[in-house]
Amino acid sequence: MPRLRATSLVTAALLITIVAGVGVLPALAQLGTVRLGLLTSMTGPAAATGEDQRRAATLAVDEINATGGVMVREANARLKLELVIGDDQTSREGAVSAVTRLLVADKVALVFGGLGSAFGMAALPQIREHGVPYIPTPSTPLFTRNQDMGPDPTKSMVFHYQATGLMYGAGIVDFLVREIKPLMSADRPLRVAWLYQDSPFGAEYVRGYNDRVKEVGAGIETVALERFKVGETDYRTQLTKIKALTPHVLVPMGFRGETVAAIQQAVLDVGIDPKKTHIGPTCACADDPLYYKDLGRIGQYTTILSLYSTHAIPKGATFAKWASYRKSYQEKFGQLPGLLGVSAYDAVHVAAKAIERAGSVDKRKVIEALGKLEMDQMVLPVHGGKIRFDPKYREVPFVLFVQEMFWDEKVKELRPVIVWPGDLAEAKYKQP
Amino acid sequence: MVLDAGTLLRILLWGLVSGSVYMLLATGITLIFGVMKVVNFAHGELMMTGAFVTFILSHAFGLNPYVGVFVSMAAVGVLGIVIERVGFRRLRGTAKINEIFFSIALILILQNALARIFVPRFREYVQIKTPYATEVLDLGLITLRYDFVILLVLAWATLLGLWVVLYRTGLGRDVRGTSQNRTAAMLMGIRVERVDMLTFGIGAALGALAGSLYGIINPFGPYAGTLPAIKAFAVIILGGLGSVRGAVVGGLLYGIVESVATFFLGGSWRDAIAFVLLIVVLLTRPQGLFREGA
Repeated sequence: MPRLRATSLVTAALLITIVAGVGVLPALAQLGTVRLGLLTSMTGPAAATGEDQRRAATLAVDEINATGGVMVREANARLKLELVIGDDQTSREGAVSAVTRLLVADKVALVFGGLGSAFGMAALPQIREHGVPYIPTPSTPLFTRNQDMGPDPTKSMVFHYQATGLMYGAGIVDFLVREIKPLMSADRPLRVAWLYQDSPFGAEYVRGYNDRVKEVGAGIETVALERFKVGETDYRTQLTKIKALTPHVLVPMGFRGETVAAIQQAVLDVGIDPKKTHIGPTCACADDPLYYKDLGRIGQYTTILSLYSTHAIPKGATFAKWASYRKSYQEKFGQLPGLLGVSAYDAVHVAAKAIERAGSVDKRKVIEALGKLEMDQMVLPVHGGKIRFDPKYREVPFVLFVQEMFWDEKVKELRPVIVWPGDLAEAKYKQP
Repeated sequence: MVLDAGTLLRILLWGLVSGSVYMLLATGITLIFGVMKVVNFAHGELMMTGAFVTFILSHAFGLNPYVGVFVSMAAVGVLGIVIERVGFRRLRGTAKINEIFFSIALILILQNALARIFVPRFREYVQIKTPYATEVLDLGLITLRYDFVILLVLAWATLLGLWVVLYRTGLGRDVRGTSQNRTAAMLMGIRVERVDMLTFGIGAALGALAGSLYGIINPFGPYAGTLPAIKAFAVIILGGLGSVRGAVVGGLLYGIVESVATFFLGGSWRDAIAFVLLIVVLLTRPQGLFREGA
């Protein structure tokens, strides 16, 4: 009996130690470091872009830590940043489970990043329940224009760091009206056809486009709004229909692989003639080193609306950090960065600045600091050069530009030239 | 919008092309089911494995993809034989749920293995490039890339070859016999386990061909096999479980209905309309269009 009691006591002591240890470990980690949770896709179809975000965020964390870390007044010390990855597995269910782990087990001070709007949106209820600051980088404006976030969305913990679908949609109309319409249909409405991803991401682009079309009046006639499901890569039937409608412009809107397939199928299989139908602007999310390689020669004269370019560097102070960022990334990882990685890189700097201003890792104080934040732009270009989350929708007014693709015989790949807006343009848009 | 003859022809052509891929995939599944009464849910992943093998052979070794297709069929056929011998054969006679979970496990294993190997190098999508990617055949009303012509020829020639094997060879007689009555086939001296193994290999090879042809005309990734496999299952239910003829007719019908529905109702209806067709057939003819033995 005494032996049994002794064994029970030892077991109980062990259990207590383990349970206490599990509870204390994250807290211990928090004493010396500030944990930032990157919620992104490390497995599943979007894993490669998620890897770009992981690399870019690692680069930002290393840069900040190399300067000694973030000054936190409450701790009276500079604390190092620690990146914790939450893999959403390119799925809604994966996002819920990953964010729960980040919030409950890893006890991160802030969550940021992400590629798919649907996955980030799936994580929102958990974020809201824990009241942890969140800087999502997918494009849907619903992150901060979401009625479910509470009676006053402007007091939420979400700060959207990405050009939204609404901004992109409006940008597409502005470009078409200024550059394409005078060349292709100066005296009649410009006939525009869309082939877009049937998802919140695609829908918001179209919404932004429709809103702007209403504003500019009768200059644009939308002749087709054809949709395709995420993961579908055969668009020939929709493109056949679009061809029969003889549009001046075809806007293919999807992720990189989808966009490449849509353009190739339009030109090669369905016979849409780029001389009669302008193809673009495509999504900024396609702007990735592989896009220029995969699209090939048939991508000549197509356009892409972006806020970061894989190859071009516009002139001016607004884009001063691009070269150094690209160089650091290439030196560290041996390849070129993509747009969504840049968003994650910037988001780490935004988070670090907010924590420094808050002087604390207390979530309420960090949220307050993010709301009042004003800091110099990082890599992504911002109107006015300062990152500020607007008080109504907590979005940042990014600078968008259009690049036209030209075949470069030397590298045997497409290379971009910025053609819009006028103050950033390297050359005039060239019609084939 | 005016629906001219060229547009109509194109819509039917896209249906014929995708239908031919579904047909190959469905034939592989139905052949395996007909003989072994096993539903291999991982057939879409065997399809993608085949596509990736052809991709690597052409991308890394410069082999013409239309030659690579045959190497891929052989490789995936051998993989199929291994899967049958190591997995399904051992589960034979146990609860059906074991086979189902084994094939679900195969889906996850193959998808993640492909993702681990290919995604870091090629991102989420790749496409098999052929030397004829920009060569076009002018048919008057429409033009057609050579790749589509070769796809149709290869798909139908393979089916013809399968028909010859099934109806003009000793192996085909054994396969049909095992499919009709396994016990009687054993009593007649047919080595049914050998038939199982070879049938699984042939089914997997057909999947590899479907994947390679799919990968020549569409971008694909490690997870791209799921949707075509679901459609192929719908096709075999439509055509009649275990019927090769049903898989052929069902595949074509499915491809064409899908294409026509997409044209008139939009891409969001693509899958829904084809499945409506499936429900209609099941309600009016529950056994499918052509229920028979393999």
